[in-house]
Amino acid sequence: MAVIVRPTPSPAPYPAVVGSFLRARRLVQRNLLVYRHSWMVVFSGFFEPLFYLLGIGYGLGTIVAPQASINDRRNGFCSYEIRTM
Amino acid sequence: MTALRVTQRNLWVYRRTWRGSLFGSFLNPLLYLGALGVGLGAFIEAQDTTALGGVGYLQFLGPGLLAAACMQTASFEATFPIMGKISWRRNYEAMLSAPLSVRDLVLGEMGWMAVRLTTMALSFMVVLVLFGIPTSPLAVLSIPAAVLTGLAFFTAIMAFTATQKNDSGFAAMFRFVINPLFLFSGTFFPVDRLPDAIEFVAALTPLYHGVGLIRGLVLQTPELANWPIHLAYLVAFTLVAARLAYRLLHRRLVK
Repeated sequence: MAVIVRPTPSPAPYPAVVGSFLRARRLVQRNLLVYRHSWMVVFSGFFEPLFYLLGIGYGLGTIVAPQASINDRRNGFCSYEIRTM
Repeated sequence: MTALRVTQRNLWVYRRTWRGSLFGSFLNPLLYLGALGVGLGAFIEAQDTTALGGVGYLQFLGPGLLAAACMQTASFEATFPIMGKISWRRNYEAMLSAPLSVRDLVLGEMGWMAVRLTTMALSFMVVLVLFGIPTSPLAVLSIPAAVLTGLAFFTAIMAFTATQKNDSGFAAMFRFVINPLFLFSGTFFPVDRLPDAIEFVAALTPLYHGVGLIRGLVLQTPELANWPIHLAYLVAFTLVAARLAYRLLHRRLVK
């Protein structure tokens, strides 16, 4: 078990909560640095709605669409899905 | 028989962790069938269901979801847990120090996966029966069919995992392979609604054959006539993938 020795903090000119925010920023920065290696998660996230739209919206839509009237007679099931996703 | 020791080891671990998977395998089908089968199904049934082969949407969706759920569970079990045993916790290294071979590892993991898939398919079948979906006593045979569908994915993805340095490739694999298969292999709508080119590709994937086999057995549709094709495809795919998993794991683990 590592022992972390903390230096006694010198009194800051701002409230303690501000200092906490300033330090918490580093944690965000650290996670961002790690996340940059997993860019694939962000990149592939673009395809997720695409696949769902094509699969459920288009594919299932061909069954529902002939007289699709979920909410809107002019637009088919696919556009209903886009608006609700 | 030493492979059984690997299966047994997984059972011992599972006895501590089964609670987490219990709700997933029972609640997931319940929610999907409730929302899509009953909710969306009402819209479809108001029209004609000839596109579905004359069965209601709930009946159409239920067996498809069983196949898809087996694919998803087996795929997950072949990624992170296997990677952990290869490199994070090095269980395989320890096992290979005992009188176990790489072949035992592959067969033992497959045996355990078969046990898991059987319990999953059984609980899924309870949900299907609660919804009144099975119309044929042959539905009982859809349980081994579901296990086989899952094993096809388990072995193929275990082979993939054996080639990976870390888990960063898994997210892409799930997004670009498993999820499209989930959406385009006939689970939610018949693949003949797709353009011919995509329909052709879909017919080459294991999930398509799993869905075809399971749906045929549960509903005794005309699709059942194709059972030898579906079964032969799934068996051949699993055997080839298991062989590949064995070779890649051997290369990874044995210096």
